[in-house]
Amino acid sequence: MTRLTRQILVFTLGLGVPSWAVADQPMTGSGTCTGMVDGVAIAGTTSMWIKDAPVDLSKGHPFGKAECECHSRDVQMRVVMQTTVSQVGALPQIAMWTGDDVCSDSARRVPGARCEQITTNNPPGNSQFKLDASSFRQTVPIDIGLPGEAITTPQSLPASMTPTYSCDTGGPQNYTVQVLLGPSGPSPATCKLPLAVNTRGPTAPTLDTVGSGNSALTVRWSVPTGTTDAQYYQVLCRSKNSPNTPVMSEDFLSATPYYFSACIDGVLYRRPLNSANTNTTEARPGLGATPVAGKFLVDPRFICSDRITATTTDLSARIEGLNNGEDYEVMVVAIDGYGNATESAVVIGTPQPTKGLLDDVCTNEANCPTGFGCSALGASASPSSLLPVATFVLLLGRSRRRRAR
Amino acid sequence: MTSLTRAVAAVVLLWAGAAQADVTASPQHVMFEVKFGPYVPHLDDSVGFGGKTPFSDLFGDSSSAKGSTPSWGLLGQGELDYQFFNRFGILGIGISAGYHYRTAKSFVLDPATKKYCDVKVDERGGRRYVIPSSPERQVAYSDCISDDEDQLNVVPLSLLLSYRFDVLDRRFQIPIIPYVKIGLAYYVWWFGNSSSYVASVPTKDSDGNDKFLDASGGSLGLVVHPGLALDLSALDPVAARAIDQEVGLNRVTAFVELNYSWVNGFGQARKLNLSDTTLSAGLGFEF
Repeated sequence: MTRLTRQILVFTLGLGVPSWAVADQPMTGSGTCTGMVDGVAIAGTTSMWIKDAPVDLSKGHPFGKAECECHSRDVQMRVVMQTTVSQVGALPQIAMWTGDDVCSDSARRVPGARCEQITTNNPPGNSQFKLDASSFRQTVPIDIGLPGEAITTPQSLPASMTPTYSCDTGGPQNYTVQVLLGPSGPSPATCKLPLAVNTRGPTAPTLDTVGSGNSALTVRWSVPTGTTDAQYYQVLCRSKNSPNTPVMSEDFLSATPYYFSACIDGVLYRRPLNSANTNTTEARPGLGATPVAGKFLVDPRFICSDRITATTTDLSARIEGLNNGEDYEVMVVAIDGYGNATESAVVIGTPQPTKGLLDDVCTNEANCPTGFGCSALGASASPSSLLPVATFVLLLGRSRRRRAR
Repeated sequence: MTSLTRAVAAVVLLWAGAAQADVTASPQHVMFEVKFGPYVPHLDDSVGFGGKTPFSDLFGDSSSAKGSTPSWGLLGQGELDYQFFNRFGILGIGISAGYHYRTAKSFVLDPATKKYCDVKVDERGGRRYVIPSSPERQVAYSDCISDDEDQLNVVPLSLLLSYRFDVLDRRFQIPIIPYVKIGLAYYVWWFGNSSSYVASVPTKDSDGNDKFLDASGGSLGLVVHPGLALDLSALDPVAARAIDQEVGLNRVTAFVELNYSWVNGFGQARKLNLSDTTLSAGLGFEF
């Protein structure tokens, strides 16, 4: 391979990797099980699943601010053992940790370590958590719940203390979720799942104008030069008079995914992370932002556009199907690879009827210009106007007769 | 490739070119042209507009005079001719098609008066925009327009008879070919807007009931294209003949022609006037 070939290869591969993935090297979302348990080597793979569907990493990572705020329990680490723990003898000790790449009771005492053990009591409300060493004796898939708030905010705390989760832990970070099999010694067997987390949203867009159209609004926005942390934009709107009712039709909303995640009033709305490109929701009673009268939340039920790719040079969208004369509140959100959405300011726009060129001419049908068909040679054409046509036909006929001779 | 190989290849090509110099030209029956030029239809001269100038009002520059013709846009056209007579000049029959579009912001309803802007002549002969309320209120152009766009699309279709006087070129190696084409034209037009590819126009039928019509149609007319072509084969006759023998391309010409189009449905009231007189330039390929 020549140096040039290598450069081309590196360049080509570089183009294929989304910007958010570059910061997450090595690739997250899948890992392996390795090590020895009672002198027997084990082997297996790990991956990330949501609601019985594998997470399609090309669509991004689940662990953003909304997963943390809603204390999500739907994301699972799936372990598939190829070489299992021995079928005989005592079951090994088993524990699950999240945070640094190497975590254990002793490792978490190192100053600065971010190592948190996941149990049925930690994080609080994790009572459904189940970790069974006997299942590692089989090759059937093992699904282990990943609590959103602990995954995004691993903390080193004594077991007696209750951790607090702020869900504001900054930009992209890489953590490892791991199941430790064996004695809590220096080198237990592990099943590791590297994960990327990010609870800081992308740079906020500036909503420049909301222009009136006929039953439509044209929204234009901008971002500071050099902004690269957004993958998509999506426009949200709601009627000023009935702010709790989605503006867009049910057909539109069922056919158009929202590309950000949000934790609102006890529901986690999750953007599409599966190959079917469908949204999922997760009930999380008591959690999330509480709707306040007058405040326009970043709520997926109010999307008014499909996604707009951030690399486009035309940062605008047209919202159609609105009522002329009605005031609408409009905002645009920037969305990163973790589903975090940062909203612009809210601007009010009012669709109004418009007038095209023919509107003044077509006051009645008889005046309206038309064309197709034979009416051009109809009764209203004067004999003088037909003269050029007759001349043309005559010339054509004569040239054909000459050729026939 | 070494320099020696290149030298040998060049000699072989030159020899081949010289050897083919005396070879007769391949049969020539087809001509294909592409051309581009400015175009602005004279819609406001349509009989049915009754002296109104909606085209100028909507598509004209806001600083231009009321009723003035909007600035030109690009018209691209292609033409395919069958050459059926090739003795003293060439006679051919052909078809041509093209595409032209232009956009303008549509006027928006003033929410206070529920009226649209009018365009009137100002004291300096320019235009001013007013809301026709009582009293009349002068406004800026930006207050009259919406964020929606109107788009005029024109597809000019023509059936042409052409004569190319290429005797000077063939017999006297003077690479100038005067020509003329006349033909019957049918210009298809439609208006689109930001919401739809073909706009709907509200109107009333003969009983006074509301109805919507598609903003589309066509106008019949005549076109005449006198022009002057330059035979580019004169730049390198040997290479030109070699190309003719290899791929059958007899001649490549660059041309400039006058586009005179009289396309108004022969004066019918319900036809748009899409006439214009302009120049276009392009390339022609004869096979």
